Amino acid sequence: MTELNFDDTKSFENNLEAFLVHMEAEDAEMGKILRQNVDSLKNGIDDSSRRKARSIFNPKILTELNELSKEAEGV
Amino acid sequence: MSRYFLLGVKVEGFRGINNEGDPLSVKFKKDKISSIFAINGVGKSSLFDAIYYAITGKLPKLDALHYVERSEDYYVNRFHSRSRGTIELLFESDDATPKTHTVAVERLSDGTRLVTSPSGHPDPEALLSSFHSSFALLDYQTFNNFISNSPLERGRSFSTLLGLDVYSDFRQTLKAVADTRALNTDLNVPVLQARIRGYSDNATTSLVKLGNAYKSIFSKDMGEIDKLKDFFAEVLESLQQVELIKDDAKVASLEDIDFEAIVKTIKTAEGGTDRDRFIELSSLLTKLKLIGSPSTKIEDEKADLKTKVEELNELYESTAGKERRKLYDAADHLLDSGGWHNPNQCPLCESSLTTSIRETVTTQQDQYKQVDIKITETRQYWQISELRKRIVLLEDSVGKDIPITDKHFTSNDAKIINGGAKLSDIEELITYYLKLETRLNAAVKKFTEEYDALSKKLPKSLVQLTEQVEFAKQFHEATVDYEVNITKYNETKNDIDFRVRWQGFINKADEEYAKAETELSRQKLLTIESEYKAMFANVMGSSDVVPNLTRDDATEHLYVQLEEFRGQQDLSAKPLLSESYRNALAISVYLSAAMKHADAPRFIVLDDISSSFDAGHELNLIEYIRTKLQYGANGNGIQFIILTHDDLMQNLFERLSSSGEVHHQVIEGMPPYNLTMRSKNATQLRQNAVTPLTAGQMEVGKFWVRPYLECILMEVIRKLNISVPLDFAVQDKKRMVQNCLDAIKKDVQLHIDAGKIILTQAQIDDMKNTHVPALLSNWVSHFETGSGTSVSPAVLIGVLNSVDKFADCFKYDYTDPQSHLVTRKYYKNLSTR
Repeated sequence: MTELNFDDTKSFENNLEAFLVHMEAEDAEMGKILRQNVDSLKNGIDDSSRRKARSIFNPKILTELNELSKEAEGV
Repeated sequence: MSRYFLLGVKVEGFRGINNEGDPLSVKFKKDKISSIFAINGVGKSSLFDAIYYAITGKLPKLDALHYVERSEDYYVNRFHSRSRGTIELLFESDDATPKTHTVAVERLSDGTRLVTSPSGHPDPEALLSSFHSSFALLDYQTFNNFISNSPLERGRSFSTLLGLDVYSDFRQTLKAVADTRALNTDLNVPVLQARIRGYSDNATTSLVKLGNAYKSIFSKDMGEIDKLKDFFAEVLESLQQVELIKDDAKVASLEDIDFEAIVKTIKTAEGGTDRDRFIELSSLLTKLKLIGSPSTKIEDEKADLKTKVEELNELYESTAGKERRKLYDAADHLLDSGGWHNPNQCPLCESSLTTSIRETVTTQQDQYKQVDIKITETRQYWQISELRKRIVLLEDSVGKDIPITDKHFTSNDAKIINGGAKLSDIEELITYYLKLETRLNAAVKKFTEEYDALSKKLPKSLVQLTEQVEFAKQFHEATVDYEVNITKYNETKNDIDFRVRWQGFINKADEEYAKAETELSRQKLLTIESEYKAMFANVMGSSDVVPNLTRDDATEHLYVQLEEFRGQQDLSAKPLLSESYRNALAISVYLSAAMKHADAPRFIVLDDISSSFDAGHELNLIEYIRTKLQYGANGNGIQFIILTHDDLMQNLFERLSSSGEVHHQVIEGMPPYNLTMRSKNATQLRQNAVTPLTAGQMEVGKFWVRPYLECILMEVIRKLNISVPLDFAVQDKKRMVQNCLDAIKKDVQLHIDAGKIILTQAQIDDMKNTHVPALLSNWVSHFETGSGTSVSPAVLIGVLNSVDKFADCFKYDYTDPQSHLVTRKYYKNLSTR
């Protein structure tokens, strides 16, 4: 796995994209789920909003994982 | 992207600024420092609050109040009759062709915030939001927090300074969703793990049952479970070969067989109550026999389990107990977060320690870790033990009618799994197990005796057939149970596998992101290193204290170190630096970082930031800002607006203002009524006093007399370069008129004695014999000595006239060489015109 580096000359969104690509190389299936739900992680500016982000993000991930599990079982 | 200067603010009805119908209007210059002075309680902080609220929509110092204090009642000025706060900001873009925008923010008494743009900006709220950066509005507390915060808090606020707040926020959010405990809960992992244990136990039990049923039918072991379909067919075939029931067994699969129909067929062939009881006994015995004999491993397991529980309890004894563990965990957290710096002092009672606090915490936590390892080892051993499986099986068959109070499996099972079992619990569990075995043997014996008696009475062939059918039925039921549980086990395992995979993935994501963000932050830190070090050295006028900020490689911690401290190297800054040094460091870091930014606000409002500085350091700071950072002096610079209540700063700004190097203004007035701004406009001040005095409004008019007197007397001092005492700037502000008069009289007398005075004798006489006595008797003795004797408005108007005449004693008739117009002009100094 190559090293992830953020480029100071690029915007946060561009660096975030590099991060997502990096993680898709680590695990394509999980990386896709992260990409689909990454917007939920963008507005955490304090403990309260981060708790809210978690309450939105993790249930979405659970739904995605259950879908993958069903697909794997051939349901 | 356009950046904006702040050119002015008008405030009415907000915080301490009432100014009903006549908003306090303050103008700022973009190309020089705009300084604003006010004595305490006049409204300087309210001005800062107004700008802060207009831009951010909140006031943290009010929001931090306890709810019973009803902070929302203190935004709008409490004396404003319409209970409506209005703040109007004027911005100018830094484009080649500047654009100006006015944004008005209103705060109503019910907390409503209204944002409009009188100049017609299409989205004034968005414009204000773009100014909400970490730099635009800074006060003393911001700088103080920077040093006093923990390394983690500092690291996070520093990310904001470096413009990396969005990176830091995302990192923290990613960490929050990747937290192992939170993720376990959110993804229901413990629930699924409990379920999978249940399915596994049930499948194992069913497997034992169907193996025993097979053996009873064919008198041989069943073989590998992966051939279950073959065994299924074999059992069906065995039934189809029996003449009496072959029609009932003529089905494609064992699961299609109607066992009730077969039993009926047998009953019909040999009727009677003995037959019914025989079939019933056969069924009961079959179920009991399917349990089989206890594994030979069980005896060893009983002993092993006791040993493990004893070892665990010995380990427990070696620790200081559960409550103390919380203390060590808290200490560990304190040390990790950098909240405790003296390794040889107890953070709880502050006594000295012979062993470092870190060593003590690590040793104690290691003991607790040994306990955790033992708990896990014992749990794993127990969960797969034959003894546990056997007790589950026995309780399900011969333990159902045991009263709940006499059942000892569930509670002791939980204790072993959670690490809370004592030796007595294990002994109780073993006794219970033996009781279940005894019950099993007794039941088998009882039913066998009855069964044997009946089998002697009934025809032998039907006895065996009944047995065979019953075993086939049990085989079928156990197989169904087994398959159901295996299916659920596999489904659940699949779910768990995906969730565990996600946990690994998101943890890796958190780790990778953190590494990249840390490196980016480290790189950004390097870009301001030389600037903040140079500014710190300049402000403190010293190069033997050199600060250094270092970012931890693995965490968000930011450490403030001293690279150099009076000949010593690499020391912690927090315990060594005095308050002024700390603030100078924080200011240097903030302003150096701000200069690197290209965010929308191209202005910084600083509120009372140098309170801890002495005069020299304040001068250094202002000079550094004025000559290196301020837009105008530096083409890439920022506009600075500095609010202060400090007399030293006031005098410094007055001096710089007279030479046009800063734009200085003073807030004056009488809260809770009207405040106004004074710059150098003596005419306005005089008008402010004369108009109400003429109308008989003594209280309002007299307020403006002192500023006017000070303004004129300071003007005389400045224009003629009158010498003042060294402590002039720090003398009692309320006695400034007296101080000015004393300084002027003394310098005049010095010039007279030296025979160098430029003033005419008439001017000297008027000044000494008429105007100074008039000012002393009609103003100083009433208002600076605190005698409080009342005077009339006419007397105060006389005082204003006296100071004008006093100033005129220092002027001469000047004829313009070109226009030949004659004007009164100040002498150049006391000896030259």
